[in-house]
Amino acid sequence: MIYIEKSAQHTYLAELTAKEHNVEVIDDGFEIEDKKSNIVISNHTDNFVHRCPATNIYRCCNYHVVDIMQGCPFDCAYCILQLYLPHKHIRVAGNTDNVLADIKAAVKDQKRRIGSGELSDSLAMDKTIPLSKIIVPFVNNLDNILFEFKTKSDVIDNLLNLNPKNVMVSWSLNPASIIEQEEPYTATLERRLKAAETISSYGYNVGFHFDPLIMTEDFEKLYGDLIENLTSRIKEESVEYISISTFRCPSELMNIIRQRKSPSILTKGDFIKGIDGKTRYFKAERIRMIGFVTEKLKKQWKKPFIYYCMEHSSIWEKILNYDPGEREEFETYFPCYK
Amino acid sequence: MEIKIIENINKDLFNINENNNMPAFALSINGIYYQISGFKMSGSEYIYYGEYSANDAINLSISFINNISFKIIIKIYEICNKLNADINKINIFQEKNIKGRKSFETLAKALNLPENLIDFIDIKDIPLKTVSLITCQQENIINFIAEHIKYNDLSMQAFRKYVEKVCDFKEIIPENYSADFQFPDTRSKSHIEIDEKYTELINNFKNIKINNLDSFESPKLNISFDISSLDDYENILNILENNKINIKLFYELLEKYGLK
Ligand code: SF4
Repeated sequence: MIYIEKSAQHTYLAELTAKEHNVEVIDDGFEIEDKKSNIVISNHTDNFVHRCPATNIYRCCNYHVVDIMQGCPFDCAYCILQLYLPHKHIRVAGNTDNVLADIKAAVKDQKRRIGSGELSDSLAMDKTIPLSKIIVPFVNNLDNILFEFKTKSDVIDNLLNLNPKNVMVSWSLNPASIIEQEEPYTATLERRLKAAETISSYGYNVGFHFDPLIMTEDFEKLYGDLIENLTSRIKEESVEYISISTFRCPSELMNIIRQRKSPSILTKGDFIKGIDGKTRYFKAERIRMIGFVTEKLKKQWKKPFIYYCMEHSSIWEKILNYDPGEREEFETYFPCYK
Repeated sequence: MEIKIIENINKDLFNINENNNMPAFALSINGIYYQISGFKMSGSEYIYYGEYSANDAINLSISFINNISFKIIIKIYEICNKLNADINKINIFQEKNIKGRKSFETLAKALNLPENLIDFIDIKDIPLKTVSLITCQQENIINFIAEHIKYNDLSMQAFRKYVEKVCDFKEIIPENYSADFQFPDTRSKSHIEIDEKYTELINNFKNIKINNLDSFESPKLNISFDISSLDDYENILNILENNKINIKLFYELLEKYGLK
């Protein structure tokens, strides 16, 4: 059910949504049933754009995120939102004018990569809450931005009627069997790749996130097949960048994973407590996993920029022979800054 | 307060504290009489407190109990539910820092835990977080844990680790408890090899402490020792000298797996 708080009732997003769907107007602050299928459009007062939260110990790429939507209809076993958000339902900022103003301010003096996939999946709800129709025309009028829609869905219809100028679409990828077990309700691998093919032939640049890599007995076979499948279907010229990182999480999230009904491969890894206090794979395992995926990708694709999200500089040096440095230096390696 | 003969009284709902040596107190909530203490007394004569709201009645009854154990807490929560009391107004939950939907769900489910597990939680003062991990599991997992503690006296920490392990491998936990059940070793080949050599190194360094503090995120080894004489000092130097080759081999091993 879609609920619209009274104060957000006349926002453009609320009106756009109400035109196509049944909605119920509620008093501001009214407590609806807290479940993933419920959506609330309300006016948010937060700062919408901020730097991706990261520690200094591991290398961070200075990515910026815009929090327009909080909550996700999918149910990935490793999802950090299980820990971060106090609610299961989805909350959307109706006051998109403020969101857009924040995006504009963030790129006033400096080029930035900004994405909407931190506190939600960027496109999963786009059929119901067509944020892309508001964001894309706006960011296409700005000079200093690469806007990223990051998704595990195949909801791309709206994007196929918009100009891809300053926009890229990226997919988080895992082997089909891992998607089935660990990423409930998301699009299958086949549907994600099909959507990526369609969107890249339409003219958007695409990205892929091998994140989180999850260790399994047949890791190399599973990820090797995935990479062959991907690289045989997508033209490398359309790939803006690829990120690779292994599963890591705060220890509290591990307990949430343990409490889930279905068993998870995530509880059976060779884990240690990282320098930042997070649970991550033993370093030699991380090197093996990231090294394998990097090498396999580089064998098929020479051009796309590959980076590691929140990894130790020593792993960069070991596999890619360089250290990207601190945030500001790191980001200059991205093709859009060249 | 007055002495009152009450024939028609609920003696069970508040009877949650077996060691209660108090006189028989009673009160009424919405006109229904409840005995709230002195459960060992027989007869129908009570010290009657008068009419109370559910919240105040629960708070009063708890004030008669000296030691509020986990077992009692879960029973208090059960009373709250039965009387439709407002949990935010029950003092003991605040005192014990029990708050949030999740914590109360845990209390509700904890009622069905095996008796020996509840006793164990009480005695070892197991944190609610660990209890909540247990109460989310299926019956065979809960029983497995309950059986295990019958034969093993675990510390609070060891118990938490054990519960986590059982939950990590819930799909291979046998239906019936077996003391011989072994959890698979989740360490990778490289990790096992490094651990083995590291243990050898620790043994070879004898009374010199050698330590990696970050699970080999860095190759840093801390070496420390105490001396009280020149002899001690020379002894240390000898051990260090004799271990040069072991250190070299150890760093070669780290290098093989990219850890150096
Ligand atoms: S798609 Fe992303 S935001 Fe949604 S549940 Fe999965 S990890 Fe969480």
